[in-house]
Amino acid sequence: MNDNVLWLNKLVPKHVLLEDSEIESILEPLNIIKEQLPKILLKDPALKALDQEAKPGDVVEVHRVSESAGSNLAYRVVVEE
Amino acid sequence: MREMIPKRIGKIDFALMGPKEFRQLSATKVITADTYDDDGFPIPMGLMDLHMGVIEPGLRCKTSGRKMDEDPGHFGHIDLAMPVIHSGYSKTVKDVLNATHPSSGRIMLTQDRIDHYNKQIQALIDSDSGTTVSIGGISRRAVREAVKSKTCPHCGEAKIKVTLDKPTTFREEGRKLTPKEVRSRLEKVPDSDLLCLGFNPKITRPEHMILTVLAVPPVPMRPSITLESGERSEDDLTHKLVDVLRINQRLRENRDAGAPQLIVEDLWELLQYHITTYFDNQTAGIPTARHRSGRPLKTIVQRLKGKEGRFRSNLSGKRVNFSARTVITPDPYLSINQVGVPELAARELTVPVRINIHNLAFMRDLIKENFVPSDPEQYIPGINYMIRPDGRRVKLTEENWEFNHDRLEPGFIVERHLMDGDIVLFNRQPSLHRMSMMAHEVRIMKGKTFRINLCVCPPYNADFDGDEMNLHVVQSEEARAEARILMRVQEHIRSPRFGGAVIGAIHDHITGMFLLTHGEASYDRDQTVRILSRIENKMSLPKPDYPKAEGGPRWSGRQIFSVLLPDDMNLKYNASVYFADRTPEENAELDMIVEIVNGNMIRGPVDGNSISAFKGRILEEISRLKGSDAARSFIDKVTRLAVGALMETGCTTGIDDADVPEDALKQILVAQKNAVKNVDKLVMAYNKGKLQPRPGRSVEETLEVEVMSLLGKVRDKSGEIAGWHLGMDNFAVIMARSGARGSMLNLSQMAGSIGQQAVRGERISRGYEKRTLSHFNKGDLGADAKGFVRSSYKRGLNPTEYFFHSMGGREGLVDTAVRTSRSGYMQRRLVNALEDIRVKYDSTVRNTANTVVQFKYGEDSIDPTRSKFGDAVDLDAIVKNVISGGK
Repeated sequence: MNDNVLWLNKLVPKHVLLEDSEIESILEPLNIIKEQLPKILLKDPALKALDQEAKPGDVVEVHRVSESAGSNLAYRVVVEE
Repeated sequence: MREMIPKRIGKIDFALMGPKEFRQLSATKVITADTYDDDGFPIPMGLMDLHMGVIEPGLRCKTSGRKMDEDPGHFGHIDLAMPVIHSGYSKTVKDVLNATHPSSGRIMLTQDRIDHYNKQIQALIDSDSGTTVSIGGISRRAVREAVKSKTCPHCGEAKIKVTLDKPTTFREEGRKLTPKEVRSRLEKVPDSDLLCLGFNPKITRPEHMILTVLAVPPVPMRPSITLESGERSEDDLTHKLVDVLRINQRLRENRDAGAPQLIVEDLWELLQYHITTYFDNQTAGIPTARHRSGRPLKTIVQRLKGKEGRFRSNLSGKRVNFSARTVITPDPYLSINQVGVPELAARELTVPVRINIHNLAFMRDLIKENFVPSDPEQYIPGINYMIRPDGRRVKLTEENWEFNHDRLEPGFIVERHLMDGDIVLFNRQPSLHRMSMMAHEVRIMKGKTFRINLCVCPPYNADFDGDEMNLHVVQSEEARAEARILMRVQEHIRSPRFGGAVIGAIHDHITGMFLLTHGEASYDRDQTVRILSRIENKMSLPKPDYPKAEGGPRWSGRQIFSVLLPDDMNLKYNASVYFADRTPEENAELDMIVEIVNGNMIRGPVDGNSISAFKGRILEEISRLKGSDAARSFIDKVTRLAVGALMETGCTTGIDDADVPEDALKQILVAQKNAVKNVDKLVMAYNKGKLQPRPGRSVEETLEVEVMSLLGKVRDKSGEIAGWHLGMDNFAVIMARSGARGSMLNLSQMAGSIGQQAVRGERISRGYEKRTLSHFNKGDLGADAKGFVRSSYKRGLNPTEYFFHSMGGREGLVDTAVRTSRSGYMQRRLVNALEDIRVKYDSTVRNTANTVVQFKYGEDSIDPTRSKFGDAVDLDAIVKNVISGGK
């Protein structure tokens, strides 16, 4: 996580770009292909604020604060449009 | 019935049909506007031509040779004299016209861009991934880019913009384009340019959006009806087609005869009008076509669209068999799981039963019972139909029943009348949540109404002022199993919305239990036996709490209630009657704290905080920890016990429950007078400009706020005074305090004062110039002039008060009316958006495309119905249990 002001807002959850091997370990147990993940637009400010540059087909891990579970992980595939 | 051949649909292409396809599909060409000849026989090549299907018995379809009701009919066609624009595609036509150049027919993009878009779309088609990104999005971008260019990169000529005059007129710099011109322009567009416009050139062409051939729907789709007078009345669609044919004919004659251009154009436009309204009679910008009587015609779009349309009314909302509807009435002796069904309905509703060696004799008896009842007084199910193993349905009649009785054997299916214990679905509209449709067990009863236990009224939102409910008999073994396991009332005692009970004791049950258990209430042997016998006939009496009482042993009410409690229950909480404004010690003194030790009630009364839905602690504990069977039986027994208790004590309320003594009334009036005087003082200060504004408010706002709080206080005060004088010997107070029905505010408004009336959250201020009513001075800001009602409901309101009260009351009515309609539509949109989402076995939430919506249901994968108000584990209880060593 860098010092982009975006991350200072408590409503913006932490985003992490995943490695290919990590993606596989997410998709495997769910028995789905990448396209069946929820999507995130390439132009999403959260992606622009990342250290690495995201490209379509990448998967980000979103660390959300959850009212019911405390914290929660979501996975979103980057799409152009 | 023909055997249907099941096929798997691999792919569907949606495309425009061209004239060639219409003609290919057509069973006949239609040329005359007439329908039947003088003998009532369909005219060949008329609108009712026998090639297009038959609607009269005895005739045969000339295309397929089938009889009426066997033949779905066949399309015909009309050759239009001149082309006509299809109003549904006028926007797309405009896009294509503007994106292409009229002379070259090429899309106004450089070849590079065309290839770029073509490639994108082709890739999408080839990928076949079923993603939601549409081809339409790409072609729209292509069109937008093409429209922007001023000159054609292919022929280099400038482009003139085409505008659309809704619904079907195209203009080029003010000059009208005829459909013929439009069509010829569309024809020019080469196949290679079509893909990026969103057309698949292999199956469709843009000029198909301009009609040269009109399909005539099959006759069975627009049957004519014969009136009693023998007159024929045609369907609206046929009427419209007659119009089209007539004008088409005149147009052709005039054109061929070389009539003046003006006349031809007028007729052409009229044909366009008729065809546009034939598709949609509510097209914006053109007058609706009407029947001779003045009624608007119901054409194709009207048949499909809206609440009464084919989709919402006939496909989503089909009428079903095996269902019944009647008025509901209450019956506290039914279990919450049951529903009382009138014999009349039970004899119509049937359950299919497959005969086997075990039930053969029983079913034979039922057949016999149908025709030779052994006991006319008693309800014994009969059998209406039997289905032979070859699939034939046989109706049992007086003549054939003996024969069928004897030949019944395993493999047959009989349709048996409803009987006790059958599982049915019960529903009340509006079906807003899953508790609006629950499964009940049938109890056949005399009378003509459905009977339900009162505790299930809140989930259905039912009362008995004439409400009707629907009942559905599930027809398959699988459905019965699902209904029993998933939909039974007892499985819905706890709500998935917040993790608490929604079904619990209400109204009289709470009053009854309170009367049974409050204070030192005790009962002699006779009474105790009477009350307890409502639960069960065989049980031993507990040891009496007062064995040495005068006149024999006596049992306390708490003791009687404790019979229902599980032995391991330990609870301590405040009752509903707990005085919030007094110390716990005082409340303990007054017996307002409930304590249960090892399933025995030590102190406190049973009231709303013990057994009601939402708040009841005991109910909450039992339904969460002991399961749905225990919860159901607890609710049933509480109902019976409450009825028993009420029978011993009685409970009644009336106008005199709002009686307050003379001096209490005086106190109320004094308090009111003082408050009004204080209001006057405030108003005076305001008028003199001496009122200090509160931070962030203007002087006027400050005055309003202060006055509102003063008058609010005096209402509470008069309620309090009334409350002091209305004790727990008053049944209205008992009902309000125990949480059964009504509130202390209701009571104080009857006994003390109604208080300030408000419209839009403010004191009443509208009406005449600077005053609310002509009874007051202009500019009067006092309490009475602004809607303060000093009177009580019992003493009655004076005319100005009555008027103000009506103003406030109307606002409430309008609010509810607006709220229900708006939330209804909101609900509809939500349901439509979420209906295909479900929780899968791996606890992910997915839609039908199997894409993940949520990775863990609710992010914690906890079933809220099994939680304690959302928490999976009741930590407090566990800690308490551990500390106390499990006692």
